Amino acid sequence: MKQPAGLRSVLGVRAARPNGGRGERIAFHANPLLAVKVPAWRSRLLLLLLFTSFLALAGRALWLQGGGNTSFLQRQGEARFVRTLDVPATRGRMTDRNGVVLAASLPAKAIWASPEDVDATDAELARLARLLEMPLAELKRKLADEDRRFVYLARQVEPAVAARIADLKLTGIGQHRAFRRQYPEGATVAHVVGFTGVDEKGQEGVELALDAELAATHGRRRAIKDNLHRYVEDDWLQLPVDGNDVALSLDNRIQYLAYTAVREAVQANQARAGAAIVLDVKSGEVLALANWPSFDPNERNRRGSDALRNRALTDTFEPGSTLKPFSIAAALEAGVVTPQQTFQTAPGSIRIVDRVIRDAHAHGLLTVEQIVAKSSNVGTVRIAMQLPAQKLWDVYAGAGFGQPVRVGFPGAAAGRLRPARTWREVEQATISYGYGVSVSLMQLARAYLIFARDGDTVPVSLTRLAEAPAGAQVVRPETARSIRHMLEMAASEEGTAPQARIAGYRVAGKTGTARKVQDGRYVNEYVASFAGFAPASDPRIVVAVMIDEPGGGKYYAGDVAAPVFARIATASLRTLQVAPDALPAEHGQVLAQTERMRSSARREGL
Amino acid sequence: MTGRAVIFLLLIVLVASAFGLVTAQYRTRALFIELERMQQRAAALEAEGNRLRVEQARSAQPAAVEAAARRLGLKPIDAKETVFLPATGSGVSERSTRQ
Repeated sequence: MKQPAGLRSVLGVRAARPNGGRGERIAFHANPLLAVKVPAWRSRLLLLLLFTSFLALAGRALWLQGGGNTSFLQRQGEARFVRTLDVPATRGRMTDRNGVVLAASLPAKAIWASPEDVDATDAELARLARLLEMPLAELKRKLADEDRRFVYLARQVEPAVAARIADLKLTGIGQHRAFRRQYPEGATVAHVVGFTGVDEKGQEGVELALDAELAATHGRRRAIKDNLHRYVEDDWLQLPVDGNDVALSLDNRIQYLAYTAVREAVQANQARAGAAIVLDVKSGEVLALANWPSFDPNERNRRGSDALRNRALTDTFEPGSTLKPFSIAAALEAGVVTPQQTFQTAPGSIRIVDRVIRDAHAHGLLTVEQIVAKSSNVGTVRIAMQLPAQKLWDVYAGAGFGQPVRVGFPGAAAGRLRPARTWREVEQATISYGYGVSVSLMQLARAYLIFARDGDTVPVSLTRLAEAPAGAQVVRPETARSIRHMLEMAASEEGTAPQARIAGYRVAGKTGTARKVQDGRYVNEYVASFAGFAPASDPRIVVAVMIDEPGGGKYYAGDVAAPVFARIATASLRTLQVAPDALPAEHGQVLAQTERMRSSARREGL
Repeated sequence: MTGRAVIFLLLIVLVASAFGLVTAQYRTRALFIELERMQQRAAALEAEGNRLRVEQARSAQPAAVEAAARRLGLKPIDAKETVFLPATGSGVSERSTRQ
């Protein structure tokens, strides 16, 4: 085969040149090296070695794939592309009966630090402290403990603030997702709504009572990432479940009015505390439950104080005269008296065994109705002593005294009502006008449902109900109507609480001015209470008010608690758009005035 | 001869299905990424909705409304300024207020 000279040189034939350049050509196949005899076994051995190496590799691969313990490798693999992610779910909202938000969870950030990695300058730390609204010294103290790998600087930071903290780009400071519970109504409904802890678990109020309902179940999933760090596949380990929304029975407008009325009354009377409750007569729903002092649930710091107590539910007091209608009702039920029957209350005192019971004023001859209206202790005792103790107890227990109000609220007090067979004679007398028994304001409000309704009662509810529950009869409808009439007299000019009257509506209710017990003795401190309902012709709301230790010189419930009732009742009836049942006598004249105003307005071109 | 044709045919089917598998996998992932984005958006909108509801509740707070009303020089209704109109026949009472 003849080859061109150029190609031949490429093939290295020229390499032969150094051999001589004599022009002698050595053919490639004639390379002397090729002439060396190599034993055939060497190549076979090599082949065998190569083959067994491949076999070993294949075996190893098979082993890693399927044989023996593969979990380590799987873990290592997954660590490179599988992530287990927490998927947060949102805690349920709490709303009032009209859907106004009372509590909702908003996304926030938790700010943490790894103290050993933090190398920020003082200026940077000062900026961070300012954003966290934390004194610089406290921040430094938190970062001082270098042994700790992880410390929370703040648990619930607004996203906007968290973004500014992230912009500082400090090493060793990190963030992760969290929620922050918001309470837009603040202190107004604080006692009912309650609050949650940093972990969003209910700690007080409905947040605690209905925690199971509201609580969210956070989800978890395993997700596979692609090379662009996008999640491309997932596998749910736990589906996230948002908490259920809860609609309370409260009406935030009535709640606000009740809260303001209580707060102003406590401040005006220099009292220790106060509370008010508004119940819907038809359904037993709580339309308002206000306490003062109160607290702002949005602030975490000054909790744990006395202001946290929901006095209306957890505190009991000896109510005094507000219980008289129940003993009179028991007497009417037993048929021992009639409303028009008269009793001699002069000279304004009566001796029972070794105790003298007095009236504030001597009244003389009174009908049963007047005894309630004028709140005569003597008259009430005379009537109640004609009753077997058990009859009195039955009505008290039927009204719910001595048993906690089942509203599913933590710490609702039962009050004290001892069994009738343990009563001594003098106790029966004092219990008939409200001493020796203790009740919470909620119990008092619930008990007045009996008179506001026709002698039956319904359970009290803090959550909105779809329909009114069926009532359970406690006293006969005639008895309830008689008491209603007496209570209307009590809230009139001839009764103890003319200040409870309101324009446009007939109201009924009873005052109670009771001495407080301290260390087993009655002291010169009072609890002024008022329980009543309106409109008297067809009651829609029960309002109960309690002012603890009024200290402004006035302590009679007619002066202290009755005006609060009037204020709350007026506002509630207007909010609920209840038709007035007592038009002022001069309304014809008013109408004429209106016509005049209207025509003059027309003249002025308005 | 027919044997070869069958094998050839199967090969084509195999290749086609392999391509199909790859395409399906690709589309699954693309759709999943889209779904993921949408879900994140839904969560963000939900959070925003919650924020706005809280904001609304805060602005519509009776206390805020009252403060605003007082700034405008309004005051609570007084019984003296309330005009009661008697019900006319139907038994429904009406009230109107006038200052």
